[in-house]
Amino acid sequence: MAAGYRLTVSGDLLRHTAVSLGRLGFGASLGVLAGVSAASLVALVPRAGLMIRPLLDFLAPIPVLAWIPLFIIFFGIDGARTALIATGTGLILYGTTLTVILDTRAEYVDLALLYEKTRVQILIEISLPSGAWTLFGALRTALGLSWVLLLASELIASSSGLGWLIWDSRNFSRADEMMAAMIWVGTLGFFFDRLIASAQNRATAWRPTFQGI
Amino acid sequence: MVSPIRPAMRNDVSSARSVLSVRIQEKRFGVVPVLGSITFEVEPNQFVVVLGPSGCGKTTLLRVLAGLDREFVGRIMLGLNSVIRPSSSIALMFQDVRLLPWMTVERNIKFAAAASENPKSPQDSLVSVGLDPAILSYYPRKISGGMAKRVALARALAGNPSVLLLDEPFSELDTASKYGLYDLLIESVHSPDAPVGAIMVTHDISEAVYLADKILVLSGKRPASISSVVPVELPRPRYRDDADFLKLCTSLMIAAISESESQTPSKVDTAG
Repeated sequence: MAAGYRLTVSGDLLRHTAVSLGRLGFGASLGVLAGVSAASLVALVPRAGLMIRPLLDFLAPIPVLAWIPLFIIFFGIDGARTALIATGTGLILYGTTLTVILDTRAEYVDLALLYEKTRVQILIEISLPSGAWTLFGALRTALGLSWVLLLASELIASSSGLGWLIWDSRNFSRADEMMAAMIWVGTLGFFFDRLIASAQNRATAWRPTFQGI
Repeated sequence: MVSPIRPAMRNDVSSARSVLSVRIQEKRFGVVPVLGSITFEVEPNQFVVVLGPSGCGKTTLLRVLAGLDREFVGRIMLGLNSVIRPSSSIALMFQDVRLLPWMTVERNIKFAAAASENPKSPQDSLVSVGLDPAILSYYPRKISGGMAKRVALARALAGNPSVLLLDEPFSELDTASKYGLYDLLIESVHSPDAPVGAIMVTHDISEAVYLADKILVLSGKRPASISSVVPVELPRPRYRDDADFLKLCTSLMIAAISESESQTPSKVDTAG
């Protein structure tokens, strides 16, 4: 408690939190954008799909952590962290978005065709909204994973961020600060998950609510 | 788009003025012929009912007419243009309401009217089907089945189509709601300020006689073709216990029975 107070007052906690959240936000946004775009491209342009799909199907089973050395060579330490988070998030969003698009109800597509909608309009007005609940679910999973990847990367190679704060506390045998930082990390993760869950509920308020089996 | 013309006499049969001209020679699903020769005209302000048993290809016929299914031999003419893809001039009401659940009533109507050159406002569309514009902001799950059907009709009419196709849209409603909607339909189709022609497919003889200016009886055989054309000249409003009404129902029933007795059993089942 006292350690947490000390960290807060000194501004260390805030500074490291800002650094971590910045990294998370940037990497995850990149991943979401790339994942959703790739899936949309595969769905809209069959020829692009012929190239992208097998490639991603092949790359997806490689555990994200295995990419770290390659990413460090290509992007340097900080770039590798972003790439790691983006890859983890992107692969999850890509898979789910593609599933959602392929699962679009034929009846709705018929309706859209009847009203002269283009393929892009069908994607944006029918496929994605009809699968919004699932997509938000994937976003929650992806952010959970990103949080883990971020912390891991900061524990191993960093001089700032919450992961580093935990590791640094260990180096100085400050168990109290370490615990305080851990609790803070858990709280933040919980808070973000609730935030997305509430966005999920708001964006899909049109759904009949599930009352239990 | 058919230009506004003088209010049509309901049983006027001059094909030069027809809003939709149907010349189907054949429609197959793979090797199975579903529709045979089907030829008819629809005049503005005319209500045509296609009567046929379940599974005879009625839904397929409507999909072809709407431009959703283009793999057939023949030609559909909308005024002077060939129907080669869906257009806002031809509206289709599906058997299910098919409102998009993630859009409010207003967005559902706008979604449909967007492609039209002179769409009605969502408010006007709702009022024209007897609904309170207050439900514009509602999601489809919030409204009752009967209201949803009315919204679906409002959506179909929102683009000011010249042809309205109906696929037994009110079959699961109770009798009172159903006939309420039928009166609304007749009113929309016969309205002098909108030269719309309607084609409804159904298996219900009483409904057909209640609505139609002209009934096309489809044969139950595969491929389905028109076995008879029955002009319905009963005065409106029509009453279902009227002697002439019942007489026409009976003769159509007898025609349907003799048709089904000559039917060769078919194991192939397709939607419709």
